[in-house]
Amino acid sequence: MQRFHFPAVEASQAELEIRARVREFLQRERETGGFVPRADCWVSAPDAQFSRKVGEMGWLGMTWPTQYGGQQQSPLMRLAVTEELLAAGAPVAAHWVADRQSGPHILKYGTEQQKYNILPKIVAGECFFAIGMSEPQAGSDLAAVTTKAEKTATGWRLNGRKIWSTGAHISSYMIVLARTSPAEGRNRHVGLSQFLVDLSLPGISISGIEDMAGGRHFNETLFEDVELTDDSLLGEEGRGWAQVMGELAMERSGPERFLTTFVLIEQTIAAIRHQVDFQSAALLGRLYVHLVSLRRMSRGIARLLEQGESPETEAALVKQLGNQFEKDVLSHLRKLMAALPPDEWPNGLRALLEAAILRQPSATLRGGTTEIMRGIIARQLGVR
Amino acid sequence: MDSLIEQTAERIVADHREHPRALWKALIDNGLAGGLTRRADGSTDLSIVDGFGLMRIAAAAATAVPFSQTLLASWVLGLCDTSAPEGAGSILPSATLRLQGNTVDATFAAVEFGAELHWLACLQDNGELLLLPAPSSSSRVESIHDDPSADMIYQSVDPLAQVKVPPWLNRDTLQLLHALMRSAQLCGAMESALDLTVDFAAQREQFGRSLSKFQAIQHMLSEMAGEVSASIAALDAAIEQVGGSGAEFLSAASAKARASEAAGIVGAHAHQVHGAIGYTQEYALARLSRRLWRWRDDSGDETYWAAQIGRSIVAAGSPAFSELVFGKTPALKN
Repeated sequence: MQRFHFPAVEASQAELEIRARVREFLQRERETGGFVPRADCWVSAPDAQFSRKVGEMGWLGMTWPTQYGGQQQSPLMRLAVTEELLAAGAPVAAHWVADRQSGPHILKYGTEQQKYNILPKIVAGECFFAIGMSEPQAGSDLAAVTTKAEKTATGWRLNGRKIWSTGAHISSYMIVLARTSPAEGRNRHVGLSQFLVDLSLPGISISGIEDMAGGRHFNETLFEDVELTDDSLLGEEGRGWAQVMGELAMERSGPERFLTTFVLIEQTIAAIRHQVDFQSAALLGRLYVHLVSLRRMSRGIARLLEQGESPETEAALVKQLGNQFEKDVLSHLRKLMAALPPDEWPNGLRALLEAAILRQPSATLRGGTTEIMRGIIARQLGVR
Repeated sequence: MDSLIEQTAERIVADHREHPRALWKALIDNGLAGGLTRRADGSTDLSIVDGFGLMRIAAAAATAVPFSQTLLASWVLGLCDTSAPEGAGSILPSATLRLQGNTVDATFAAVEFGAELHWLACLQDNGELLLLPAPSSSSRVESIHDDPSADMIYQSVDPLAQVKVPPWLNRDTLQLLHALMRSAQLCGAMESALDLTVDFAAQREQFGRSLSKFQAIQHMLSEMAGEVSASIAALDAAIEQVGGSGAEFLSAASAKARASEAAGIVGAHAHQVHGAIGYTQEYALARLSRRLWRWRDDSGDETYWAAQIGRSIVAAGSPAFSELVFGKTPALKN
């Protein structure tokens, strides 16, 4: 059986060098007050200024062709950069969606004009994106979206409501999945299209939703008779479902599915290192074992992407395992920290852990729930 | 591993899986069992990567022959510049022997395939390796397990050789290699258990539809696939690090810890999906799950290895943790 394939990838010298550069950059930023490390930083810590600096370093849109501002680097080089940024808990949320999925999506489906207009701005860290998939009545059942785009003389008229769009309030664009023609009987996957929507257009109102950890990244975005030009269509009319599945594969395949809590692991090791008994050592060791096997799989995915494959199921596997891992991290770290009397915890660690615990429920939801991931894997196993 | 070797091995184990004697003969005749035996010029026919791949294939077919043991022991002897004798052999990871005089009087308890081995290697307390012929006698150990164990009894036996070992070879490093062998076997058996369970779920009908149409079943299968994939990833990472000085501690320990943990989940889910038929002596699952549950504990279980790893992480200090995970970065020339 070789149903799932994660090719081996050795670390190149170039990769280790770029890691060193990112670490040096992050060290400097930390020292000059550029950021305070945060868990779940790719969702909860937007910082437009920091994103611009990352852009100046040349670490956004790295894999894209040079004519759009990219450097045509391998996905493994990008992976090295994103891993380092996540591991440090750097405030990368502002540009995360644009660099991870919207840019590559435009690269794949966009017109030349769309690419030239938008990609260089993403590369510069000046243009952020929000995801326009979920709706109040369409969560896991994404094909139930009711947002509608109707053809007009000059383009399209958009009406509907998108929800849970992280960062929409600071973003320039949203890629919106909308119905452009009715479903055909029970086949709801036809008649969907994607639009590149400039969020500054009239008729769009964005309102924030506070998450249970007190964070303000979620939004509800209302589209009321928004007039879109003809060239707002992204990709092909009616092919939105297939396109959005590709976009989701990019959303799911990255290291943010298992590195969100890395800062906490490091700080916990430092705090308890003189009180490690057999049980603690075993908990810590287990975290390491799971982390390195997930990393190995994640690197395999980067290699598959480099080879032009679309590792949708592999991404679902990593997300499923990664989400479980992050739950385990928090429960293990609580047990590890129990070695210290409560008043001897180092400054800031409890707050960091508490914040991570409050953000944990979203990990197994965003980007597709664990149950949806399991369905995708089951289909690949041939049982659905 | 080499795809031609892979195909050959898969064909052989499929043809002879029910007949250990014929299987062993085919593994010898096709040069697989002796594939890691050092030749006069110091080379081996197969690579150690092929060797671990073969262990995985043999375990997937639940073969009851001392194939993996022979491969590992032959390879270790080769690293000591010694060619393994012909036939089936094994190297004991933990037993150490004190040699008194020139002959050996000793009993090695409950050695896997002990009654079928033509040779045996074990460490002496002076650190050298002792190579022994088949024992004077052996007595089978009563056990529920598929791979028969026997006490190997040596009475005034002349050793075949006393072998000087390279500096890295000791009880710990031998145990690590055994753990890696078990990891490869665990991965093979888990892949097979997953295959069997997927097929069973598709074919078995209850409530008027196949089991695989039930979401609860699909989720168990997906979880099994995740565990198997992660274990293989950890195994591959460890095998890549194996070389002339054995296995690398962190990667090999991780491979065993990951596979041992996965074996519990994969075995439990496989049985749950199969229902009562999986619990019978006759059906093919039990010979996989009995091995899974034995191998996951053998040569150190997931908690043992996790604790070893945890201690080494703490010893390295917290700034080194990211280096252990992401690799050591070079100094920058600006």
